[in-house]
Amino acid sequence: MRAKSVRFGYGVGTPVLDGVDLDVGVGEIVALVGPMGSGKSTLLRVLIGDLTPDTGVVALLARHSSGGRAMLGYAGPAGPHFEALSGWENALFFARAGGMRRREAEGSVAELMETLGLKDQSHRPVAEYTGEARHRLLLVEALAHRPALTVLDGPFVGMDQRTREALIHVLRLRSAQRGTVIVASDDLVLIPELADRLLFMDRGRIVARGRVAELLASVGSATRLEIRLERRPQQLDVRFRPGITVVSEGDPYVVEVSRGRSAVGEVIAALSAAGATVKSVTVREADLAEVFRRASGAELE
Amino acid sequence: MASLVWGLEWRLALSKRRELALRVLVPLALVFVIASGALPAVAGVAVYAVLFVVFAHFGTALPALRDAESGITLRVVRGGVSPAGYLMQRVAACSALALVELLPAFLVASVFLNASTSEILIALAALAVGIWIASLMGVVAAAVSGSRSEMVVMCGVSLVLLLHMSGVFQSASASGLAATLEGIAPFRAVHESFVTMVAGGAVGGAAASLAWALVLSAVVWLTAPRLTAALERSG
Repeated sequence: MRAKSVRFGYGVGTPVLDGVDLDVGVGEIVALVGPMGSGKSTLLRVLIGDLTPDTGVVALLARHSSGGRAMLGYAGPAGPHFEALSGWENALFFARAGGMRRREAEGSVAELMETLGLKDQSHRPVAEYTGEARHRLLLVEALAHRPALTVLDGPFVGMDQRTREALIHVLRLRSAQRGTVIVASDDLVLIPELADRLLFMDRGRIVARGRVAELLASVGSATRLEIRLERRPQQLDVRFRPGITVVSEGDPYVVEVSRGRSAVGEVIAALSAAGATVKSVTVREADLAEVFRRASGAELE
Repeated sequence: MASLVWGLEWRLALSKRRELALRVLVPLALVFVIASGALPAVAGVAVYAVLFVVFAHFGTALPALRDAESGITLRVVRGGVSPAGYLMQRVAACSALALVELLPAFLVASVFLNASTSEILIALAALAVGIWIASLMGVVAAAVSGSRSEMVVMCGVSLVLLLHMSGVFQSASASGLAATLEGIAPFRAVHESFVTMVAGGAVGGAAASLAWALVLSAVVWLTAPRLTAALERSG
């Protein structure tokens, strides 16, 4: 699946997607990561054909034929069901709509409902389901027909740890069977466990992309300390020991330390000795949140 | 997958038993009150024709718009059901349901009109075709309407016009342009099959009704991608 220079806006004003390029290979698991409003969900809806881009190209098996649509499994953060029918009947309907025979669909739905913790309530009407159960049912419906492309928007929201791990296992299994998975999430704990590649989005653009190891390598292994100074002499001449490197002498004053948080006291002492008064210190570990922050200049939270 | 949506519509209808009971009892009560009252039979059959056609029309249009607004239409079509298959199965299921729901009312009307078995069978066939046409119109109306109120106005006006064209509101035989229009009107056979129970004679307009059914089916089939896209947008 490939998207090139995709721009999309919901009306006049700043576009929600602003020149997005995307290339996802067969069997790959790609995660779109970014804060709320960064354009992740909109990009997914463009990719599956729900929205038509203003400019740019999306090349996808997609939805312009029923066969293409059946190869797609999509679950958004919320979605309607047939309320009067049971979760089982809903999931079975969508599995069969995706081209499965009845018996095969029943097996697949039963397996997924058990995996995602819906087995006990599978025969209750959806009208009686909680919001979380409805979300899990959406995931079952998206996955049951074993689509070639699975697109999930915020799949881990409101999910307990056991179910999250079960879902990650299911998705990794699909990937191993050459199923492609695209996930949008802002969960930086789970996403590295799941995804082969990460694409960080901010304000409608992809600001960083790569494998987890590559992205972490891009920020190095050093911890950054951002130091706000209450008072600083005109000439700030600080002598640090090896392993502490000054990155910026502006405001904030930024140093990289190879020894992690344990170097904070030493840095403050060196600054004080040089005549500065430290107001605050922010510790930036070399993690994925830092990757995003450096690429976008914004915080992920 | 050929009958997936058909089966779904039946399961949904049967799961809402109270709604199903009301959909049987309301037309039955209306027909019983009219049939057992002092209204002249010719006026009564006009009311039946209007009631049955309107019932079938809104019985398809309102759920179609409701599902569009809830977003379930988008999910079903996104899930792999073809637009033509979705719409035609839906119309078929809604038409069959409407026929079943209207059957008690229809039989009560026939009994009060002292209809013969052959007249009942002919009227039932005409009613089935009329319901099919009204259901097809219902799904088109749901797709082209921007809102529920817009749909109600659009359906109301167009149905009254078509029923008038079909001779339902005319006591005397039409002539001139009215006769020409009546000859090609979609619901003339439904109305005349009831009139025959009262006054005898042949049922006119059967060919026109069949032609409407075939042409409208073809139109819905061919424009199904556009119609479902419109229904998805409504959601």
